[in-house]
Amino acid sequence: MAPATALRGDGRSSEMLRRQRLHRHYVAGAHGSAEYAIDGTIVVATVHGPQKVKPWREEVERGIVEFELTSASGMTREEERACEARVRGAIEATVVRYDFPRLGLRATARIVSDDGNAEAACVNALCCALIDADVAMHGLICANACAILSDGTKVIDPTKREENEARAVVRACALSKYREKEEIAIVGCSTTGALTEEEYLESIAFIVDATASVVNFQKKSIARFELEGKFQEDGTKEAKRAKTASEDTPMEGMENKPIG
Amino acid sequence: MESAAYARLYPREACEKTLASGARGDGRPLGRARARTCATGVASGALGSALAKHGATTACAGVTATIATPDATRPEEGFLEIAVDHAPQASEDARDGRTRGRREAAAAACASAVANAAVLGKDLKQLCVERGTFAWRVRVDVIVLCDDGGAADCAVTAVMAALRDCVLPEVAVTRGKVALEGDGTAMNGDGVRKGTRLDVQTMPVCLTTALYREHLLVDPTREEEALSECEVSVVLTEDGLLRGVFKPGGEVEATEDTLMKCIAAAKLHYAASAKVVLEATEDEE
Repeated sequence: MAPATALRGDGRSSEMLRRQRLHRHYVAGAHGSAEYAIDGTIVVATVHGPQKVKPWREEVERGIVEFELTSASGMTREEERACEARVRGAIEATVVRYDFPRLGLRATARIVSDDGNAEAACVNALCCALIDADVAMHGLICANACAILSDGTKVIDPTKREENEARAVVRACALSKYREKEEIAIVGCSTTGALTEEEYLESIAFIVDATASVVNFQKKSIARFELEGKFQEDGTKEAKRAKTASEDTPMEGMENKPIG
Repeated sequence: MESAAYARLYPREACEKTLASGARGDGRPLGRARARTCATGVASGALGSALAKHGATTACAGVTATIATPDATRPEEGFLEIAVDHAPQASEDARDGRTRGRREAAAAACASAVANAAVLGKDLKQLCVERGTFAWRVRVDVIVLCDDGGAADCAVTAVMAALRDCVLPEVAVTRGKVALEGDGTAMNGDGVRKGTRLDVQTMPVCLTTALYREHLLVDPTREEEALSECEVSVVLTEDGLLRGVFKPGGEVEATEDTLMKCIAAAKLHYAASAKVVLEATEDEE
């Protein structure tokens, strides 16, 4: 077992997230959209709807969610489909589907570049796109991954290289909402490779911790965006200039800050 | 009102009432899985085949193999592909174009369970015919014939039995061409086709647990799956390692405690489930 102070290839400690960037309202034609980047992993997500869906797909009591993923090279169609199913499950758990019976949300995500942890980036980008589209949600959905390296060290937010070299990778997403008591709860999860029960449970706790700090980042970004929207309503020249300036400089946060 | 009609009209209430008495619709206690059975050699055209039943859930797996060119980055390895599909009669939403959430989740869980468990060893070197030029592309097609809940578990059982049953035909490489020895159907003295058996090194077993309100229903039936909308599938191998924990979303969140219970249930049922497959494939050896 490596000492806890050992640094990873890119100079992070095992519990350090990469720098994240978030651009809301990225695609003008969509009802809601966002670009989310974790260093080299960039995902563009859009949400359309609620809108009419094919009659054989509609459900009487609640809306459905359709999700389409386009990945950068390196994913087979089967992997894409499996990833689509997991992300769709996460969105279904987040949006208040009883609000739009017989209709459907159409969500898409495009992995522009993949440097590890792409599935989590998809979920996080979609969460922001859902907020942008003004869809009612139970809370903020947030995902992350944890790789278990061959020496047993657990590293959060793995890069592509770490994912490939790892003995096992745990991916999970959690919903951030008001809870009666503090507990570790996940909405979805999948694993690859072999791991023991303890390692699995520790990884889940690790990931839930990390999602809490990502949610903070998202909230900060939302607050800033809403504030700017009000500036624009005022219509003053200065406020407009402030808005354009801020759109060019994407929201930044989590600059190599340890989680928790 | 007749109980069947009541259960049909008010499925949630009916389920609540049954669970309150500590049993489930089919008389099982909450923590017991359905009986598993397995038979091999059900499809004579395939290199290996198996039919697995978990209660009423039925899955049929067949192994086919073709010669392919290995990946340039891994010249000594072959390919292993798992494809899980639902037959049209398997369940009410099995038709193409319908919402396919549950079926896709089952297919993905089965494929990743077999991949994570490295059933044919860490690398697929045993599928190599000649380095860099010829390798076996082994494909396991699973058809879920009847989906009464836990399709992924049943599919994994069928895949494992079919792989253990599989005999690859003998091939010879002469002057850069690969050919079957004879017509590939020659029999050994004991009635088994000539060839090399696959060396199946691990024995993954998958167990699904449904979360319904505060109850955990091990190995749910179709009705229970439809009500709970939230399942956790746990894959284990004989060394006690987790080879996959899959939860494809759903409206109920799984707490750490729930996950531990699901894993414990899988550990409890591992030995009996693995024995079913081992016994089914040992008969003819």
